Amino acid sequence: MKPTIDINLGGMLFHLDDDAYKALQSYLKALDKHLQTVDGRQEILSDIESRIAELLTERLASTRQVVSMLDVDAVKETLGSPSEFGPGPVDEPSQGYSEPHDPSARSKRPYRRLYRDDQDRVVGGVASGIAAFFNWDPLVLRVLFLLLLFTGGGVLLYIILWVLMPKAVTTAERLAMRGEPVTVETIRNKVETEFDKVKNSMDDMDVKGRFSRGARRTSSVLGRILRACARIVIGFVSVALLVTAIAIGTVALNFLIGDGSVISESGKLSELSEVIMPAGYSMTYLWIMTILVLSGPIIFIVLLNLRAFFGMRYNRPSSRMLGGFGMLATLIGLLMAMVSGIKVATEFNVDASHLQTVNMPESVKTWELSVADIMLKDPDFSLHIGTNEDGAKLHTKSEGGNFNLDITPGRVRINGKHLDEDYWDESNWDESFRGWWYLKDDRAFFNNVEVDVRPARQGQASLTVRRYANGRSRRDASYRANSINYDLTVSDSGEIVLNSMLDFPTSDRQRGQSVEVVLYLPVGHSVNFDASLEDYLYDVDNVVNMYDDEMLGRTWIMMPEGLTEVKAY
Amino acid sequence: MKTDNARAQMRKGALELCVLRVVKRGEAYASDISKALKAADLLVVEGTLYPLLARLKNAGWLAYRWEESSSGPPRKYYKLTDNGSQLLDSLNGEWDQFVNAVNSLKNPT
Repeated sequence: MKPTIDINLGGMLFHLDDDAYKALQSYLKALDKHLQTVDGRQEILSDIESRIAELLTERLASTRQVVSMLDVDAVKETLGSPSEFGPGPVDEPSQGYSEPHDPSARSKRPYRRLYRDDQDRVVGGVASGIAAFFNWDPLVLRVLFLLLLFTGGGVLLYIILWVLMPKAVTTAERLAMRGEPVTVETIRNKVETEFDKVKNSMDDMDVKGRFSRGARRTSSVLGRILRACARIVIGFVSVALLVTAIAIGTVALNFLIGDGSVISESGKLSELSEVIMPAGYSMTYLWIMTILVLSGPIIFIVLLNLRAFFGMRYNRPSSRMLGGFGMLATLIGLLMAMVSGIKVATEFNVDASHLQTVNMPESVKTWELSVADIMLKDPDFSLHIGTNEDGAKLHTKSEGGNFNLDITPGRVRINGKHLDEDYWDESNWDESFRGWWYLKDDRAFFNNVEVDVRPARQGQASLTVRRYANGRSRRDASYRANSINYDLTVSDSGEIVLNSMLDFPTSDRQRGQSVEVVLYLPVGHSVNFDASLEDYLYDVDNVVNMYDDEMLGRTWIMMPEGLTEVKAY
Repeated sequence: MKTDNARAQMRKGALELCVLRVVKRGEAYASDISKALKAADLLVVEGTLYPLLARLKNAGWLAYRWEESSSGPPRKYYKLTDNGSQLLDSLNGEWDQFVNAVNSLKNPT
């Protein structure tokens, strides 16, 4: 007794014995390999398969049902070995053309790949294809898809899979659909062919090309309509992607290399990257890196669009080269990002801090806590713009006056910085101008300041400032923490005014520099939080567990059980 | 052996013209074409034909339609397109010139 293997050739079912199966499989594989560089390879292969089906049908007498080695040999003799018919690369005939008695023939089964099974399908053959890949019963997946249908996402998922999964057309592909399961050793092999396959699956989306041929095999009108709809949706999505990509690219480049034309209440992103990139990495590095990383996706999306609207083929040498170039560029860009990223990460390795205690007046029992916006105090930034009562005329007010103002209708520039119309309204000026960082005179200013109020251990109120920073080593971190400059003032009447920002030399880079200000209050002392402390209070414990921002504008007294609000009557 | 190789090269060069001539006689599917060519001893293995047919079709010289078959999968029946007919006409002329040119070398002048 010999087991047989069922295969499908040109839509016909054949029973093959094991030898015949192996021989036919390696023959088809050799053909596929031989025709690899030939245009219309799949069509040629399926023509040849149809012919093989015909030849086998002729050879099988009505009483004989199983295709044997002899039949396959006869077919091979009629059609010839791949090396005998061109065109195609001149290949030594032995390569990729393993004889059926080769003991290693078993291991030469094709690696399993995901295909749609067009010949066992209800809608598009997605479920049966996935089932074949995992050796499952397709019914399970069909039921699953049906259930997902009610959630709505199922339809979308199915359509996406339908479009992305290539249809198993040739017998070589059908064999691969049930081929050798993917193992670690086969991954490398898969990766090499993956790029080609992705492009092939994109070919599936071609409206003009394969669709007409596919339609012949597809009897389901519903399936055709759904596929056409999916293509339209993909067309729209790809246009949207293109627009988004161009927008993101423009903005990214503008931020990175722009000269301040982009509105910026804080510093420019280009300055931020200057303060983040490790020493020795110039802006040019960042600039080249960004362009490289972006080029791959942009090229891909452009090709996708060309494809969708002009029917341009991915496998044309020019687009293939362009695609390869884009991928390489992105990889190099990512590598550059990784190199600098790792460098930055090592400089966050350990942290260190320095604690300072601020002198406090002894007689005071009620404290006023507020934040002074040092950016507004800075003559370079300090100004007011608003509308006059009598019209739309702008007036300016400055404490330092060291700026030039250029007002043309619809456009306001201050020291070359462009401000948008929100800034015309004086009422929200202060609020929106409060930036969280900026660079000036080789110093970086950041608002990484946290304020907390805790119970004092002794009967005296005290104020501590702890400066934190990260570094490669503890020494490095400690040095960096020590070079942080942070000022606050405590008046004799108990007004504590904190600077909104700390600053450090730009050459230190931003490596987690932050300041924690803690006010220790003995029982009986009270504190009022000014509204300017918004975003500065950090997790201040109080008896009613009120959130930090809600604590603003209220007065609190330290009781044995914790901070308690002093209600005004 | 050497004549074998030369003959194979000759066949190869003329195959395109031969296929077009066979199809010119009437619609034909791949097996018809290969039978005709084999009968004329112009083709050794059938497999040669398929890449060639695909190329001629993609170049717009041949067109095909599907026809169901009682003894196997559906068949592609090929016919000449208008472009294909024009090409065949000019190739026919060139072939005659070629044969004359080759023959002219046979006799001493």
